Amino acid sequence: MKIRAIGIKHASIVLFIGLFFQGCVTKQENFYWGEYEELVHGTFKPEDGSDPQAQVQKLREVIETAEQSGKKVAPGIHVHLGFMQHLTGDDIAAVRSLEKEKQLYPSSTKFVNRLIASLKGK
Amino acid sequence: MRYLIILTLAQLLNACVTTPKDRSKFKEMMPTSILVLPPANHSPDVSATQTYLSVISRPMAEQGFYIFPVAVVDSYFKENGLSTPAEIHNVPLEKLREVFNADAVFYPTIEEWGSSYELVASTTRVRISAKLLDTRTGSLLWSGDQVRVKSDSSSEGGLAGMLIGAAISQIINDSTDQSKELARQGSYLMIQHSEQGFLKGPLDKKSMSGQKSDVSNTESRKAAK
Repeated sequence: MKIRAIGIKHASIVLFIGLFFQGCVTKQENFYWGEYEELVHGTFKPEDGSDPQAQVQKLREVIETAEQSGKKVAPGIHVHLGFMQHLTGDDIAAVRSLEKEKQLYPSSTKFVNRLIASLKGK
Repeated sequence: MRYLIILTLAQLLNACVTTPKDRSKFKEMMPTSILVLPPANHSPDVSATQTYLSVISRPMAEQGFYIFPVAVVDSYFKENGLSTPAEIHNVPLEKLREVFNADAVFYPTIEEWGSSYELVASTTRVRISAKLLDTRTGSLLWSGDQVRVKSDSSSEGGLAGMLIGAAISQIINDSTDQSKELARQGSYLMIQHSEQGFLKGPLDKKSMSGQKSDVSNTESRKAAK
C-alpha cells in the first residue's frame, strides 16, 4: 500500500515537470524560417555573405522547403527576396516576389506597393 | 528529487510574484502588423544594432503579428536620408503610418551589450528596453526591459591562452556570438512571456482571434467608420 502511494506521487510529479518543460521545448511554430535570420544578419555584413546572388539562391531554397512541407513562409521573406533580386538587376522577379508577399500577408500591401512603384518608376 | 521540485516551484512562483503588466490598451487596439525600428544603441559595440535586428523578428512574428522585413526597412530609411536610429525614432507616427500602414511601431534600445574580461573569467551582458506604440492614436500599448547575463570562468587556455593574439580574436568572436545568443534569448523572454510580454496576436494559429487570412486592423477599423 505504502509503496504504491509513493509510486503515484512520484509519477505525477515527474509528469508535471515533464509537461512544464514540454511547453518550453517543443512548441510548434506558426511560420517556416529556414536560415532567413542569418541572411538578414548577413545583409549588414559586406564581407560575410551579403552577396545578393547568394541570398537569392538561399531564400529560394527556404521558400521551396516551406512550400514542400505545407508551411507558411515567415513574414517579410518574399520582400527580402525581392529586394535581393532587385540588387542583382532582376526587377521582374523582384516585382513577382513583392506581389507574392501581398498575397500571403495583406498587412504588407501599402509598403509593398510603394516598393513596386519605386521599381517601376526607374 | 526534492531539489528539483523546489526549483520548479520557485520558477512558477517567480512568474506569479512579479507585478502583472497592464495590457488592456494592447488588448483594445490589438495590432496585426508591427514595424520594428532599428534599435538605439547605448553600448560601445556598433555591430550590436544589426545583430539585434537579426534576432527580434522571429519571436515577435511567432507571437502572432506581421513583422515588416527589418533589413529592407533599414535600407528604405537609409535611402530616404535617415541613417541613425535616433533620427528614425524621431519620425512622426503619422509619417510611419503613411509609408508602412503598420498598426504599431516597436522602439527598441540596446542599453547594454558585450563582454567584459577579468583575468580568466568573462561576463556577457545584454540589456534591451523597448516600447510599442499604436500608430493611429499614439498610445503606449506595451513597454518592457529585459537583461540576460552569462558568466564564463572556463575560458580556453587559461591565463596563458589569453596572452596570445590568436586567442584574443577568438575571444572577440565568441563575445559577438555570446551577445547574439543572449539577445535572442532576451527577445523571446521579452516578447513571449505569458504575463510580461506581448499578448498573442491575430496571426497566431492557436490564438482565439486567429484567422487564416491576415487583415490589417487599420483597414478594418477604417471600414467600420
